[in-house]
Amino acid sequence: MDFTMKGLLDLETASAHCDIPCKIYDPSTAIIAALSVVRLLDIMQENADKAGSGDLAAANTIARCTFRKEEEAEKVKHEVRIIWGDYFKAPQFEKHPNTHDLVHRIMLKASACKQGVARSNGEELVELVNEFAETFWATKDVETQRVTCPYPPSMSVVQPKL
Amino acid sequence: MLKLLKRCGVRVVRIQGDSMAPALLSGDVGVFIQYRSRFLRPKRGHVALIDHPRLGMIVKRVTGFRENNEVDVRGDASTSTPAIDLGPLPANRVWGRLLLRLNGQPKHSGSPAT
Repeated sequence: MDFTMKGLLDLETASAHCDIPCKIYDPSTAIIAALSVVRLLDIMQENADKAGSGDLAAANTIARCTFRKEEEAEKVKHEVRIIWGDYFKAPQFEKHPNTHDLVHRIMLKASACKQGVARSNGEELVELVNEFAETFWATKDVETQRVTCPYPPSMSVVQPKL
Repeated sequence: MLKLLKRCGVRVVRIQGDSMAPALLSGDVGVFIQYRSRFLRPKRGHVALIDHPRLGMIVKRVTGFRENNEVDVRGDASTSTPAIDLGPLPANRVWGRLLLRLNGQPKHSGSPAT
């Protein structure tokens, strides 16, 4: 039997991974980051006219918001990738087979939020991350609810019923 | 070939991670034999291949037994997932026992694997 070359590549694997500092997974960070993207897009829109007419302070605000929007969208991608890559295992994927597709759509939508200024992209990003949060809590048999966040942009977000 | 072995109650599995160090190191290949007769059942101290309901396929050491046909397992290394998070597990989740460890470290050219 070939234990050294190609034969090894086809072997199934068993995890003996270590768990420090794992175990703390929560999609709430990704949801807040996605909300932040929408809020930043709103602030940019509010300052667009003034910045266009030469208001330096407004231009400064837009520059800062653009920078922060980049960071928050990246944070969404990072947080979702961690849960998808580290928490989800074969049993979760079997139970929720559309997770790969959902995560991929989040990646693309977050990138679209970086590239552009369309609020609709931000709204769709929040919704996709909400769906991801529902999937995540479903793997733990935790019920969820949709509530409106009590701060701008006042959008519907998923919370676990703990 | 591997499917045929599995049907015969033998699985050849590559180990990922060091929670079973030093008994098994990441990159090692383990040969496991299935628990499927009254003569071959999980015993305390066995390194076992486990189909974990949450973590998927894992390798841990059997540390004890409970009522209701449940088995306690844990990793050897101090950094392993705490035993309390791993189980107890239904006995039918404990697939088989480590029979042979093949070192995953590369050998010099031409040396047959042992």
